[in-house]
Order: sequence, then structure tokens, then C-alpha cells
Amino acid sequence: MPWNLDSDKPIFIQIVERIESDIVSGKYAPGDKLPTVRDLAVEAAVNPNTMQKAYGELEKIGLVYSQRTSGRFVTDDKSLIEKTRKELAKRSAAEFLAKMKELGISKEEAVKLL
Amino acid sequence: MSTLVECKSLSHIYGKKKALDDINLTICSGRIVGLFGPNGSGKTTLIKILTGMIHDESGSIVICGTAVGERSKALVSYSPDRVVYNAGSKVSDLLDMYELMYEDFDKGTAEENLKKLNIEKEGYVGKLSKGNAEKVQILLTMSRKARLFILDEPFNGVDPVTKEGIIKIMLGCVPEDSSLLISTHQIGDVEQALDEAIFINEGKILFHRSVEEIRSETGRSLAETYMEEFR
Amino acid sequence: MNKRIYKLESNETGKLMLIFTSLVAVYMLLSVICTAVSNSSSTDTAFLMKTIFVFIGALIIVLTGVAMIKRLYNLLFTDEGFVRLSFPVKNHEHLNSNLKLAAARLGIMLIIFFTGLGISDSIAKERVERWGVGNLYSDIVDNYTMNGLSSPVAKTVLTIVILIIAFAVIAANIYLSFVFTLTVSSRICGKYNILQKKGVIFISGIVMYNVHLLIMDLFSRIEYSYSEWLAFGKGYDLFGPDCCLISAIDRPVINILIYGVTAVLMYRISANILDKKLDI
Repeated sequence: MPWNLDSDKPIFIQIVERIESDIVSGKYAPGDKLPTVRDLAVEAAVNPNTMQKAYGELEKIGLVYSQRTSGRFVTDDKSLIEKTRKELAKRSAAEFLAKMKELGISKEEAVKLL
Repeated sequence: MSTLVECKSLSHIYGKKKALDDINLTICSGRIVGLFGPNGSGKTTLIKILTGMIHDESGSIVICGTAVGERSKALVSYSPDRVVYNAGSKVSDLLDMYELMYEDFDKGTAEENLKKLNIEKEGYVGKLSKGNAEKVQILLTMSRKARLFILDEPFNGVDPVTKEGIIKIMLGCVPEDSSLLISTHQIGDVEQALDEAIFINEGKILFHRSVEEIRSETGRSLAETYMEEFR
Repeated sequence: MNKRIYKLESNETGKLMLIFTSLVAVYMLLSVICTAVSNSSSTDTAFLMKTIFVFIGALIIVLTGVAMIKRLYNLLFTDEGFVRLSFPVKNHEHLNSNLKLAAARLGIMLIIFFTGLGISDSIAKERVERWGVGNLYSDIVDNYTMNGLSSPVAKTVLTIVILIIAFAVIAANIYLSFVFTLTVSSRICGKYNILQKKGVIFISGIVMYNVHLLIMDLFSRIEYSYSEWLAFGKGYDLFGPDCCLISAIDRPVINILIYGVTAVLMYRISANILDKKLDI
């Protein structure tokens, strides 16, 4: 399945977000092995170097850890995943509200809509 | 990261027209490089010189430490801008031919990929649909363990699904320390697969930079930058 | 790497050439059979059939040459050239493999052809003890013996060897003329950015043909004055009984020289264009 990547935002950030949401949604369970850089790059049709960078970013956050010989794994730290989930939710909510504001709908009206 | 291609003051004259005018170009290993420019800007001429199809240039080219010739051809895998196989040969004949002629050709992978794409091995090239013929050509080109892959207009007249298939073949087959040079007009489709972009016009290189740099500096996608540059 | 390109070339042409060779063999066999049943008068049906079969045999040999040249053209100067010229071999190896395999195949076909002719001839002349190609040998030995020459056998062998070389060189020259025309016109097209490749090939072919005629005319004039000088300046008698031998050999030798030198030149230029000045 192709990944619909936005051409304006930096690609590696979009990949990071995508993998974060995959981890949070449970597509990759804690402790799961992640696909190799090349496999995922082919699946997403992006440059392997960009994919490498995205994995690096995820490792920095701590969501992913790598074992030298056997590849990359999703973290077992459930609280970190929970934290990421909240962060993502906050980000989506903020985006939603921004959009509503554009349409001239106030916070209260938006909550009512929901 | 080592230098794969180094061109110094490369020029080529077609009749009275300067197809290439004093080109200086360096391509390092492990990169996916896009070559963009309007029709007649010299993209194909540059590619033909790198692959030894034209042998009439002035200036110097070094590919993996050797001049263009039989030794560089063993390291460069090239797919021209149209399907060039004899319509009367079977796909399996082509596989045999590549296996015979290139030491680094991986017949097993090629056959596997053909199966994945549902292309009949015993079918004739002339009977294949345009997209499938193009796919076969890219697949055979990419099934070598070459140092430099050069694809000239790989998406000529293929549908979006085929295009995606071709991009995936491309990305999946380039070994880590090899590079891929791809020339195309479909910038938006390859943009996210690229490390570097070369813009070329009237035989001169306008710029050669990292794609990420261009995007973050201009805030626009590569396709938009292209439109801006050549409008 | 060189071996691979020969293997590829023979893989790809093998089947067709096998068919062509066996066709020549079949037609020559038919011509021999017709000779056996004919009574050698030109109105005889069997005799006519024999002539036709021999003609077809010769035609197939010519067609083989044409097919090999057409193949070279397809391989190097059409879209297929992109595949061929990407192979990790020197470009002129493609030319070499085509030339050598064409030479081998045409050689085999010609041997079959002349064997057939020889057998027909020995049947027609009812000389059963001399059959096949041996006929040519016997004829020349007879000729020398009748003229009272010393050591007719050695001279016959020499004559035949020179004749065969001359024939081969002329055939090679004709083949290379086509190759030369192809490479030179492709070079012209590349240099001046001309797209009408076939037109350029046609025109350079005509030019080549005319140059060929001019050179041949020049040399036949030289040869003529040389034999005039032989006949009247020195006189046949001065050369003793062997003068006959010289007049039998000098023409082939001159042919070998002219055709050989031009053939080598044309090959060198073609190979050089392929290696250093190519543009497809």
C-alpha cells in the first residue's frame, strides 16, 4: 500500500508520524520487530536514506530500539507509548481546532458538534 | 562514501548545436539522484555519454575509477528511454542473454520479480503491453548488482499503478553502496525517493543539490521548484 | 568476456543458419540427382532443373550473407544497439563476432556448394574415378600437363590455394564494404544529427559502389598494360614454358592485394568508429 505523503512537509517527519501512529494503534505491538529500512522504504516508495533518518529519529525518541544483529524493535515501555498516544491525540485535536477556527466555528460550537 | 562518477568540462556537439556545454558533475555512492530538465536539455545525451552509447565527447569522465569502456560497462546498468528489446525474442531469451553477458546478473531474483508482476516468461516481448514491456526492461536492468544504475524515462507511457511498481522495483534493487541516476519528467512521483536532484537546461547544469535542502530552503516541493525554474 | 559474445551470437543465429545450411545441402543433392538422370542437353528437363537447383543454392548463400549484415545493422544501429553496446565488451567485438561467424557459416555453405557442383560435374563427364571437388584439381593438373610444364602437381596446388584465397578475400571485401557503409553512414548521422539513417546508408552505398568501380577500372587498366608488356615487351617465349603459370596466377594475386588491402582498411575504420566515435 502506498503511503500518501505530503510533498510540502519534510518526508522523514511524515514517516516518523506514520510509524508513531502505527505503534500507538497497535499495528506494531510492543516488542515487535520492525521491517528493515529497505523493506519499509520500498513499501512507502521513499528513499532508503530518508527511512534510515526516520528510524534514527524514532530511536532518539525511544519508541524504537535497535539490536545490532537482529534488527529494530518497538519499545516495551508501555508508558512511553501511552505518552506518545496522548501527544498524537493532542496534535490531532489542535489541528482540528485550527481547522474549525478557519471555518469560523468557536471552541464551544466545535465541542457541541462532536 | 566514494565517488562513482566524475565528469570534468564535458561537452558534446550535435551538428551545430551544443547538446552538452562544459558539464562538471560528481555522483557519490549510495545516492538516488534525479536528473530533470525540459525536452532537449541534454539529459539523454549526458546519459548516453555516461553509458558509452556516444563516444564522441570532449572533456573527461571517470566512472568507478575507469574511463567509459568495457570495464565501466560492467559496472553500469542502463535502461534507455524506450523499450529496446527485439520484439521477436522471448522474455526467457532476454534472461538468458543477461545471464550470459553480465557476471553480476541475478537470474533468480529477476525470475521471482517477473512472477510477482505476473509476466509470462515464455511470452514474446512484442506481445507484451507497453507497461509490461517497460517493467521487464527496468526489472532486467535492476537485477544486476551494478555500482551505478541509470534509468532514462522509466515511466514513459505507463499507468500510475505500473509507475508505482517500477519505483518499488527500483528502490528494492539498488545495493547500499550503489547509486541510481534517474531522468524523468514525472518529478512528483519520484520526489520522495530521491537524495539529490540535478536540474539541467540547454546543456548546462543549473544546480545539483540535496532534495531535502531544496525543500526546506524554498518551502516548496521539488515539482513546484521545477515549474518555477522553467516556466 | 570475448567468448561470451561469440556464444551469444551463435546462440541467436544458430537455428536459422542450420536451416540455411541444410537447405543448401538439399538443393545441391537435388542438383546432383538431376545431373545423374539428365542427358546433358540444354533442352532436357532434368538439366534445366539442375540449373535451377544450383541457382537456388547460390541464392541461399547470398541470402545468408545479407541476413548476417542485416543482423549486424539491427544489433548496432537500431534500438537493439542500446542492449548490445551496453555489454561489457569492446564495441568492435560485436563486429568481430558477426564477421567470424558469418565467415565460418558462408565457408561451410560454399564447401557444400562446390562439392555438389564437383560431383555433378564428374557425373556429367562420366569420370567416376575423380569425383567431388577433386575435379577442379584434376582439371588444372590436366591443363598444366598438357602444356608440358614441369612439376604440374605442385603448381596445381599453388594455383588452387591462391584461387581460394582470392575468392575468400573478394567475398570478405564485399561483406566488409557493407559493414563499412553502415558504420560510416551511422557516424555521419551522429556527427551531423541526421535522422534519416536509411537514406544516408543508401547514398553512401551508391557512393561506395562507384568508388569501387573506379578503383577496379583503374587496376584492370594497369593489369592490361602489364600483360601487354608481358606479351610484347618481353614476350611469352622469354618466360619459357612457365609463362602460362604466371598468367594464371597474376590476376588472383593482384586481386588479393587490392581487395585485401581495402578490406583491412575498411575493417580498421569500422572498428575504430565503433570503439571511439560511436553515436547511436
